[in-house]
Amino acid sequence: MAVYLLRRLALAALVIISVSAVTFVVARVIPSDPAALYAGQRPTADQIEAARERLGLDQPLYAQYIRFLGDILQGDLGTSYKTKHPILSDIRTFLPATLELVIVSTLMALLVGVPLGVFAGARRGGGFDQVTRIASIAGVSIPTFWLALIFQLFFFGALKLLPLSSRMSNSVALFNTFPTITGFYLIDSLLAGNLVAWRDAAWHILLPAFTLATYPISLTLRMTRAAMVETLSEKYITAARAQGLPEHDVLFRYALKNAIIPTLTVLGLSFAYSLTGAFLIEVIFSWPGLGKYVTDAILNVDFPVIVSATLIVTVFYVFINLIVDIIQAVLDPRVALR
Amino acid sequence: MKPKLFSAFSLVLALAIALAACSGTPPATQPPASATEAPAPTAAPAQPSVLTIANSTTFPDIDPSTSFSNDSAVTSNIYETLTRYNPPGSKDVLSPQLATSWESSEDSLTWTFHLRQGVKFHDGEPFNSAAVKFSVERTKTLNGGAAWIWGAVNSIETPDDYTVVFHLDYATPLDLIASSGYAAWMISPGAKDKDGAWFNAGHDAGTGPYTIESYEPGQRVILTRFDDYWGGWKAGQFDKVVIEVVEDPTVRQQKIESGEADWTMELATENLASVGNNPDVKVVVNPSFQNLVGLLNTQKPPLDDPKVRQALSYSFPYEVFINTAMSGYATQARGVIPAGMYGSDESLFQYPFDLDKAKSLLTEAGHPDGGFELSMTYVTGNTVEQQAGELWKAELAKLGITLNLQPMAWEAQWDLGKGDPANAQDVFVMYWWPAYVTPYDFLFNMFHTEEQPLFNLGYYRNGDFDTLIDDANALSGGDKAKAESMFQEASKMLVDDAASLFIFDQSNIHIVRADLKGYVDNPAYSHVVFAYQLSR
Repeated sequence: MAVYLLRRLALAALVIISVSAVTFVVARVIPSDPAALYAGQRPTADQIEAARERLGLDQPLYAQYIRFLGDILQGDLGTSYKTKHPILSDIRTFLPATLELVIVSTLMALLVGVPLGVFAGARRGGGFDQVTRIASIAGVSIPTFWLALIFQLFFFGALKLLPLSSRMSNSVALFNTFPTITGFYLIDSLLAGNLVAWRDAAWHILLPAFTLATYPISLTLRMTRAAMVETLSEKYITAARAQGLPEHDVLFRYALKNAIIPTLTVLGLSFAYSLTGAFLIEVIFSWPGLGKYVTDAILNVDFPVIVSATLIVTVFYVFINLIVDIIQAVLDPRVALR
Repeated sequence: MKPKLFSAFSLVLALAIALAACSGTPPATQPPASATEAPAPTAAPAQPSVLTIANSTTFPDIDPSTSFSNDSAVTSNIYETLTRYNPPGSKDVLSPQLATSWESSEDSLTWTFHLRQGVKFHDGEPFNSAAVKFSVERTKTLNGGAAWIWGAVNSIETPDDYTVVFHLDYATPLDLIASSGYAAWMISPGAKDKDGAWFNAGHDAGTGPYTIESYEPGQRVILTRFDDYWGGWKAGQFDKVVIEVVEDPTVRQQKIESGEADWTMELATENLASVGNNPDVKVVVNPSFQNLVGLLNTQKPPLDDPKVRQALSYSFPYEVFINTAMSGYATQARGVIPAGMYGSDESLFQYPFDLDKAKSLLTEAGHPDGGFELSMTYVTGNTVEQQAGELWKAELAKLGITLNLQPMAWEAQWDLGKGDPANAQDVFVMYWWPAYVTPYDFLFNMFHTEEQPLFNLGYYRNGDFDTLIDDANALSGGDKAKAESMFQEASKMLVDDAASLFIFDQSNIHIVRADLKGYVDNPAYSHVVFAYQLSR
């Protein structure tokens, strides 16, 4: 098991280093002068040269890469060419908004996807199963940007029920402020005991989180259904039913307990997927998160931000994969022996 | 264990959503009562009046020394300059702001500004000559953004608290420079240990009518009025200003029409007519000081021949382009200096669209049937530039000239342009706007001889022209009328030489609520709302 763990860790480190090298080189060879970018909108030749020296761009590429790695190991992701802000502090500002969105959407996937999957599995082949099958296939295959626009048109345009964009109304920002502690508005407003702001934040997150959740909901639904179908054919379920236990207990206390494990694994991976999926959603809903930050960086060819963000997403994926690997090895010791 | 955890999670979230769903009208459509935690600014009335600006862009940098972008929407309400450029049509070019009067020596090498007394910075520091010296020196030292506007300043003297003397290395109109919406802001010496990160965390150190109350990057800035503002406060002026980032034009339109916003910009031009029909909303159209040019590669055949360049200038369908691509919200440029700006010339020749004339010029130049190819670079995704290229391409085809359109990221386009003119593009399309309002900004940057190309991307070389504009600039600090006629002469040289396609002067289109009083557009401070001038 220890060898297995070490092997996984070494592999994870290798992946991260390779990705950092590839993104770094690709970002540098794109035809464009980073010093001119750094120097701003309408720089003088002096300003461009000063920027070149300051950024160490007069050094050879390998020296720049080593410096970049050294900075990262010291917790310094560099500064954005466009805004000159330290990237780490920018990420601290924008990441909570993204995490809040992704966490809420993952919870939605659990809350909606699992029960629907249980019922669909329990009534296999029935009308409900058919309807959820079509809905979940649609949920997986419809592009989220299209869905986002349709949701906006419907819930904001037609029903005037939910806000169109952003995390909070101006009125709340003006008159019902609360201190930023975690950066999660739903939590910070509760900590401040400010229910008006909490309700406002909840109304704002509903639509983007649900849009983002359509994929994981569908995925969870399908996974749970499949696992339930399998579990329900087990002998212990037949025994439980034979003993006259209520159907609700059979489904949720006995069957789901075993059926949920693969679903949770998939949901873990889809959490990482949602992190990148959120990029598009954030742009459409003007959600000031990491996705919007990175999109702006890409449009501005802001290399350090692009490289750092790629690295962060890579680390996130690798970390979650590692956890999944470990869980699998714990659940099934044969995995570690392979 | 896991299902238990899951149930607990589910319960919490279900409760949360239920609570949200049951708690009545969502605040999206109706602002919640402010009673619970109404702020208590000292002199403000119980219900503060709020001006809401729906801005189309974020604010990358609100450090007053280095900011050189759309941030001026924010900085212009927090900071002030020594002088202010007046909107076109005003009696004087400049009006006093933090300086009450100023004069220059005969040779324009020494400038003296007399400062307004009784002005306080938001941090309580007094505004005086030491503060002016500190501000300009901080900006020069950081050398970011538009810091180069102070390039001529050699030393700054402070003979007394309210007099400041600038000694220059070369003559330049420092009074105009001091009015710039970038890099000319006065900053409190109390911020001498603060860096860009401090400012960008939502702090400020200005003298302006408003100060930052809160800043959520990427979302909004909330400004609140500075009670000790030297200009004083009258009834009806706004207590708070929300500058909200709304990047989607449809959302901005929705906000202005519903009254959620009082001012916005950059709506789809095809929707402006219907927006203007709404009696609660006004569409304010004014000339801007931004224009679109197509710099012609004067160093590379066939465009090294002025006759060919003139032919090209006759071949662009100005009117059709402005009426279609711009929905009429632009005017054909008269040379490179935008209409309404100091130095512009209403009698300057404009090339009309005339293919016959173009053909005869091409024949004179030895290209009766065209027969050559040209490349035109512009920024990918800029539909205006793209349409200009496509319409022009169709006309050029009639003359036997093939125009190859090359959309590129700005950085790549600029990189190609900065390279060897012999391998560079034939036509470089870009927008230009001044860092401070002077014709010299346009004439010098795009047409003054450069050994190493930076923004003279048509590689224009003309010694007489260089001397003329340098002299005019030196003179413009003193004899503004003489300098203006020299700038006009230089501008005419460019038109005669057809150094560039002068395509259009852009219009500033701003959409304001009809009940907003006192709104005046000032092209010198592009897309800036001076909230202090407004009331409802």
